[in-house]
Amino acid sequence: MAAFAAVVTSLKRRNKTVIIGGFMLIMFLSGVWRFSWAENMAPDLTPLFGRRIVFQGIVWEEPEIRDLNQRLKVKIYSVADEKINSFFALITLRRYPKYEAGEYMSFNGLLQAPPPEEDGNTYGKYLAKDGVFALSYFPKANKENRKQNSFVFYLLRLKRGFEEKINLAFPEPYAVFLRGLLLGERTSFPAELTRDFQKSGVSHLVALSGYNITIIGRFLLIVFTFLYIPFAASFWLASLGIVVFVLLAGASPSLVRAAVMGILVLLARREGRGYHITNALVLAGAVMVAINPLILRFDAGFQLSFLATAGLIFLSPGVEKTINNAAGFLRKKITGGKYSELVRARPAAGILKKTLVETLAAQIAVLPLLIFLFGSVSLVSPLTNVLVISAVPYAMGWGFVSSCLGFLSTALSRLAAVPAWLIMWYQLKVIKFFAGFSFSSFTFGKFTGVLTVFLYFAAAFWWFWLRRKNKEEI
Amino acid sequence: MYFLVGAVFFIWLTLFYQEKQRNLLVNFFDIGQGDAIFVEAPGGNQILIDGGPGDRVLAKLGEELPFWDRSLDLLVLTHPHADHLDGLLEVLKRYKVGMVVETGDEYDTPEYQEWRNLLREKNIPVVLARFGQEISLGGGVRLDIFYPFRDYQGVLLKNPHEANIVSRLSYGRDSFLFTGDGEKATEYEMLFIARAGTYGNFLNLSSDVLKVGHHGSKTSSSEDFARAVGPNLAVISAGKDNSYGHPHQATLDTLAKLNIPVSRTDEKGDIKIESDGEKWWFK
Repeated sequence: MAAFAAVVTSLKRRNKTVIIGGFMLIMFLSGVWRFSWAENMAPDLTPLFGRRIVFQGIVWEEPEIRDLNQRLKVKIYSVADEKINSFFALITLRRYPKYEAGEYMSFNGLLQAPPPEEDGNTYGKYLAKDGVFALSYFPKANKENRKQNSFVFYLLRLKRGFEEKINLAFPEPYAVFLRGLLLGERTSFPAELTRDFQKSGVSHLVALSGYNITIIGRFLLIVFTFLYIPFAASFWLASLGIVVFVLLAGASPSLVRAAVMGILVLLARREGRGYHITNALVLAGAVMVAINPLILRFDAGFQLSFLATAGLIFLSPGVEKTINNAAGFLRKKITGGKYSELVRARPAAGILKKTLVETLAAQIAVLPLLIFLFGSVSLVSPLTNVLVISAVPYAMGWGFVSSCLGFLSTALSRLAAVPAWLIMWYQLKVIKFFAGFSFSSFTFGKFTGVLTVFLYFAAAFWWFWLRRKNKEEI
Repeated sequence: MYFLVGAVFFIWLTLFYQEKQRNLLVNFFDIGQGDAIFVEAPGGNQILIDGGPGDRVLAKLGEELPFWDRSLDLLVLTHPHADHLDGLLEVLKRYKVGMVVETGDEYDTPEYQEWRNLLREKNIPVVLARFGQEISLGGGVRLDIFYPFRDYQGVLLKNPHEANIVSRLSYGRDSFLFTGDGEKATEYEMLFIARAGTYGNFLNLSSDVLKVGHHGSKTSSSEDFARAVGPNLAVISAGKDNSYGHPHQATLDTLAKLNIPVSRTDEKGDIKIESDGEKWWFK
């Protein structure tokens, strides 16, 4: 009602600000409604919980292999031989035997509800965002020896085959690093490595965020440009490359979201950092949230890739300016202003600078969120990122090609893997080295959610204010 | 040009690697609550005794072996419990394995089933461990099998520790006793035979380094046995804050009483020892 009143009054006054304000209010209210609708969408499964039952389902995603067990997301379609409205359950089993996506299975055991939300424990909501409303630990599991054959399951099996080729081509920990880079697989990361990655601020590399996909896209762009393909065509080819990659990596919803963000950054590069790209980013974010509102609050991957993309688009120009100024200042200091015209940046330095600019822009954008999520921030992160990221496309490219050769011959893929191994060896050494310092990461108290959101709003307002001021000056 | 430089670098790296290995290397991997011991003989033969739980042994092997080396000459599975077996499954998948030594008893878990399948699929020669076997690892290094005394093939044991493989690695004057999860009964059986002297010098328990049985549990490491081995170092392979409470205080007390220094993987990480046949040292 309030919103309606606001719109009506605004129409009378023809005051633009109020129209926009009223519109925002309507959007806000419908957003709240959509979120609570999604939140309360959970099916009522209480009659099933807490007693021993027989249930049947289809393994819906690639099993998540963990150190001592495996987790299966299973679509349960029948309980005690009765068809029911299907729902998803997360089932923890022993590590062996292995199961495949699309496989029919029957279970005998206890289903239980996800833990209730209390004391900031959002695990239940986290599961709900993936549509999971029941858990089961170590029920008796039997394969039914039949499979559902759909395109998605076929892709998932292809992905698994590809993973095995990576494992044969590379020894650990290089295999797990490459799986992280190419497939975003993080669950089988050794604890030590995870800690090193966090401390040196490069965890995003193996999260398959939009950032990673941007790297793939940009790499493809460079290759196509090198082959004298016109830029417009290169852009579409690179986007196609990203799509193929997403299909190969299993096309999970989070991956699709990451790919959309990645393509947006490519688009930003094509369009120049103009007005359209802002709209595109906002629209993409809004559509994703409308489809699944819970990701807004419970999917760190989505939050990180959205903010990193926003950082790349909005903050890069400012960061670049600052760095140029600083470099100019330093150059003046060193040369006394005499030779400043003579000292020109070489292309290699250009690439390094670009990486530095983008890394910093993305890092600044995600900083408050990182503190909110992990309570610590990596101080060496800009440096490690510049040193590591510049080699990422080569590691991914070589790694991908040499692993694919594994479909022909293992020996061949191992031979081809040598350069990729050397690159990853260098990257892991750098990461380990920088994680080794006691000052490499700094621990804050955790930010509260409210403070984090407030910071982002403040930053957004500041940014718009600056832009308006600049416009007025012109 | 770059390729050439790379190739030359690569060749030298290989040469240096070949050059350096003149000593016996024994590495007790820190793989959490379990056992995984890597041995490299001066001749270059590499063996792995147990694989620990999970996949952590793979990263350890990746560190220990050069990039191009994707083969192991011998795997020993002391008994089919998960904390000794599981890591070996991925090892079998990713590495070319020359030979397997195991006891061959029955054990009803999916992991052990997978192990059997992989051995069959990859056609890997299997030797059933028996007291009295001697495995020459080249360069004067040998692995003697001390236990089990009898054939357990196809036998379903209530406690697989009964058939657990005990072996002794020796190089010149240095020796290592690998006990797996052998319990006190196993220890006394070996003591009995050793004292009876039936097999001459073969069952010589006295060793420089003792891998303490069953992660330091009180079911192993009787005082008589520890005294008979008389090691200069006891290695305990256990996970940090493991739910079993390994190593048990009673075991630590026994070792302290006999003045045997203790190294634990849960405290020190990997315990890496090198020996030139005259003396051994931490690396």
